[in-house]
Amino acid sequence: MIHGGRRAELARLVRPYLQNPLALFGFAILAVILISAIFAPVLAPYDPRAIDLRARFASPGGEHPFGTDAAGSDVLSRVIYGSRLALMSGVVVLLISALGGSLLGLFAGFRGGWVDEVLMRITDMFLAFPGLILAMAVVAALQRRGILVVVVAIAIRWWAPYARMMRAQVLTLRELDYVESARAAGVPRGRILMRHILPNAMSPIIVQATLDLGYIILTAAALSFLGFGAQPGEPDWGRMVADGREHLRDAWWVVTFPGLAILFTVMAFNLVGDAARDIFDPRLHGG
Amino acid sequence: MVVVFGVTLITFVLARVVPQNVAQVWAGFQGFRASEDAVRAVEEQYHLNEPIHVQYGYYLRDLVTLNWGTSPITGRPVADDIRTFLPNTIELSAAAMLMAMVIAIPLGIVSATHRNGIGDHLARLLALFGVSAPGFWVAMVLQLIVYYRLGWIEDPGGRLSNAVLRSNPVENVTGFLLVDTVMTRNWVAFRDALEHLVLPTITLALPLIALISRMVRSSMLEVLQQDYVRTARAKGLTERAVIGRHAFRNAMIPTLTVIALSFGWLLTGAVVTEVVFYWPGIGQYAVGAVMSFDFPAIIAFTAISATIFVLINLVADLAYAYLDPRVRYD
Repeated sequence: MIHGGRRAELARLVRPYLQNPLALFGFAILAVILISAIFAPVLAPYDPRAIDLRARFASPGGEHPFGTDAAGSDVLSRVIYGSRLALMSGVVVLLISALGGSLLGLFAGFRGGWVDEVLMRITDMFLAFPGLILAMAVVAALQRRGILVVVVAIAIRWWAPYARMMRAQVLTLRELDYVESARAAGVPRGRILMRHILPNAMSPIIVQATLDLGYIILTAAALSFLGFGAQPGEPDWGRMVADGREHLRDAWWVVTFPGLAILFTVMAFNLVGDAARDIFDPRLHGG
Repeated sequence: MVVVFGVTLITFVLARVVPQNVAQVWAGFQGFRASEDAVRAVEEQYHLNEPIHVQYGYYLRDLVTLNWGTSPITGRPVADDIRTFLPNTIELSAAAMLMAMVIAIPLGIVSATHRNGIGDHLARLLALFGVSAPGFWVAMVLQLIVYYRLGWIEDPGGRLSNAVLRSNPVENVTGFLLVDTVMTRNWVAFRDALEHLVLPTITLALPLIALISRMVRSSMLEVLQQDYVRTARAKGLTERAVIGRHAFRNAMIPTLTVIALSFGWLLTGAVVTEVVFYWPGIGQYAVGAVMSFDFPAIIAFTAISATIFVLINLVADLAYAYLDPRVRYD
């Protein structure tokens, strides 16, 4: 019985996604990216860092479906390996900012008073900066380059919206009757927070996180493109577009394919995130 | 106000607290070490030997009096550099915002009034592309197609072609190239400048078109369900009048907020767009500054961007309150 109940629950959760062709398309892209990230060594026909100066700028087709770049490396293999860096940096930034921001918002909303006031003012300060621009200043202040620096630089601004959102959720939820009655029944504060408020506050956070993952990858790609992230030669999508820039006229494929990879990844997270929002928030349906 | 203060605080921390060897950094090192004298001069200039809260006081004073320091890379005062580059960014951003509104508002209205029609689906696809495509890549694909393949324009970067610069040099009046060329009736240069403006504008406008058209669509859909729209229809007004007079005006109120928020995209997008098109604006200037650890320039750019962003949001809030009498700030 329990088993059947679970299955019904799962079906209820999954069905809206299956009925939405765009969301399905998004999931399909995500599956491809995830598979290429996990099985990169198996799937990639060549070593992504191999330099073969005799095979420079081979056109797409034949042995190199996406062609080769200025170092003679196989663009397809580099695009496949690039999914690792993109997903990893995206997920790490998201974990840091969503967890950190949510905890802060939870604390601010629950404590209230001057603690809330101060924390929210600090949040506003960070929200005043456009993401990429603060990230650039952080890169400069740290006086370093590399993927790790990019992760820190993006996370430093990205937690702020989560803090706001979580706080708003807590403020709404803690006035609701079931929380009120739990409090009246003498349930300790920490337990109310963890068992009654947190689970119900999670859905908008999850929706936001899905949408955000795409934008984080986009921002990281921009930073890499500008030369602050992955260094030359590394199989990173933003970096590959930058490296192909000088040879745009003669070798369009070096720029085009990694760019398409970024486009489809961000698009997939947007599609899935939009579908998730429609499901979690039925008021916005079709909006 | 608190937020603007916070902006200065964050930039101060990034400028003076986070970096090691602050004086070295501000004197411009990277590769070759600044001389002892240069370091001492910088310590003097920025009061780096004072306690940190005193430094912050000086920092605030310098920020307000536009005394933003001297770039160790260009050797010029940062305020002068910014004054040279900012008009180019403003021209590009204004063009992009104009293009975005001209395209996105009708697009959003058509999507809402012909919901789930072909136009609506195409608009949705365009919006999805607009928010998902990396700007630097769009810029390069546009160059590839329009310049290298089709040859429709003569030069893929900068503000003017070298040939035009030689034959019809532009007199600097306001610093805004398009305005200057019109004022001095330099039509050859004006045409050339417009031609150079097209591709960067499209690149920058694309995400804005996506954001604004989606917002117009969803607020139009909401407004169209309201009683007063039904009343307007019931009393026999033409569809044109219903949409133009009653629905559109009310749908524009939430759209305003999105337009203000999209200035954040504009500032961010300007950075990569300017780099790809060799556009001499503050975005490209800032990237060069980060590359060469030109601290005074980076901090000035960061503080200016954030302040512009905050002020625009403030203006949008006030406009919102003016347009929607239900909102009151007490």
